[in-house]
Amino acid sequence: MAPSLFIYFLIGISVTVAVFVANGTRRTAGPFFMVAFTVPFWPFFIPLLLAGRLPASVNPSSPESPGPCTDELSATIDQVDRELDRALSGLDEWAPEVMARHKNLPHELHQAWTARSERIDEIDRLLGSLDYPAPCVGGERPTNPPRVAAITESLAKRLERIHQLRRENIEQLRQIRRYAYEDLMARLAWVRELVSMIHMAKFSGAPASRAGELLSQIAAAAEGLSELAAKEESGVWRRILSSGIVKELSELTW
Amino acid sequence: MATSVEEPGRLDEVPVAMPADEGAPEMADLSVQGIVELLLKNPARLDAINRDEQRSAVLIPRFLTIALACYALFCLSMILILNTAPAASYPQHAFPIRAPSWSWGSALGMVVAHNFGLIATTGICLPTFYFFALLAGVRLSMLQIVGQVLRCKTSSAVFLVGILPIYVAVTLGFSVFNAPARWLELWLYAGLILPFVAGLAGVHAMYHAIAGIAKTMPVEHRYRRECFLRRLTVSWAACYTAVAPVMIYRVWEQLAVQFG
Repeated sequence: MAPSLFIYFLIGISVTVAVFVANGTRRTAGPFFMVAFTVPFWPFFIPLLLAGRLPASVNPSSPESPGPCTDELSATIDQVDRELDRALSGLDEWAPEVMARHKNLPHELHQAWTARSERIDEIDRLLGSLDYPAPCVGGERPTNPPRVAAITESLAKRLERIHQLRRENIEQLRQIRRYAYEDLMARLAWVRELVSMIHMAKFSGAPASRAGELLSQIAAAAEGLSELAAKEESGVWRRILSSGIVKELSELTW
Repeated sequence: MATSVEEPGRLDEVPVAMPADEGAPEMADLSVQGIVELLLKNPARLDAINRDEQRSAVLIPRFLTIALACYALFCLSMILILNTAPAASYPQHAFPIRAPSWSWGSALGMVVAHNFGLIATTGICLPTFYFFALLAGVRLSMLQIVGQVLRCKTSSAVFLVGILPIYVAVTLGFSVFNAPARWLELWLYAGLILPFVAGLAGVHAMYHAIAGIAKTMPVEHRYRRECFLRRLTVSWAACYTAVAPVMIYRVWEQLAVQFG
């Protein structure tokens, strides 16, 4: 038995080294587990090595990673955050009481926008898992027709109907995503316009109360988003994302 | 001069897809604790996650961790029970079992034999399962097989820990009520085959996992092949059940001789 064990553990050590090398220098919990288990249970790790699925080699285009649309959203949110901060810092001398009243506004807006962006990202991931990537702008994507040649006519009709419903549901989900994206971009653009108006009001000699009006309008944007999110939490979005058909669709990989 | 700005139209009307029935498909917590929770509360969700090969690297070590921890817990309980059982009721008539005394080698032998034996047998049976799956026409990569088999092993191990308290309680009952030594001996034998009883939960999980993967087959083939999956799962379970006891017994014996 000793020679067999020796050979077994020798292979185990070799596989461990391979796993370690494949993981590179990443400091994650995964490699630690890997190395600890690879020596005694190396047969389970050879398929991982051969498939190139170690944590270091996870495909960057996996459904977890944000898509280009979300990147664009994040960049826009960052830009609006910066512009709003600059506008508010300019209020220190011109309208300090207005500034004090709205000191939490950038934080609230950022939270509302980020939550909205995450929601869009969630739908993107879902659409990605349905093999139906979300386009940045409106557009159609052809779907693969089911292979129903070798089955009975009635079953074929039924399957065709199911596929039709599936396509319609995915299309609706895509539409929801597009509405959410466009709505958020419109709100961001609106806030940018208001921020530019704050600068204009300051340098055109407008009264300090004008800054208060504009900031109230910006605050309304955050409230609008929060109201929309609350409405969705209790209603349509939650119902759609939590519906059985969506979960089932996400597991279908025909 | 600045003019007033109209707020953009709100999305009061959004299209409705389907009514709600279950929780939202949130991102699952894939920590060891999260996996155990998913295993108990939402095994179908865990199956769906496990089908994603991208997550295999994260899931496989954690499945192993859970399985090993559960089997170690079972072994420690059995060592305790076997050591406290009366000598007359020690399992030695039908099939003599080496006494796992508190000495280093013997107790270690039992723990290692069960942990290594049960998991390594899975490794030995992996190629069998791969070829069975190919025969059934199910599109499974070796990595998916490893993931599914270890997920089922984890199910068995968690189930084992679930039934362990019942077993211990009944054993205590035998002891308290001074049951005949022969009965207690049979009960101790039952304890030693408890991992195989719990293995039925793994077989059940395995069938559902493979049936889920079968959904990736073309529709016209799926209905013809799905019936074969039951036979495949039973065949693999039979293969595993034949190999595992031999593996455990041999490793236990060898370690007890080496270190005992």
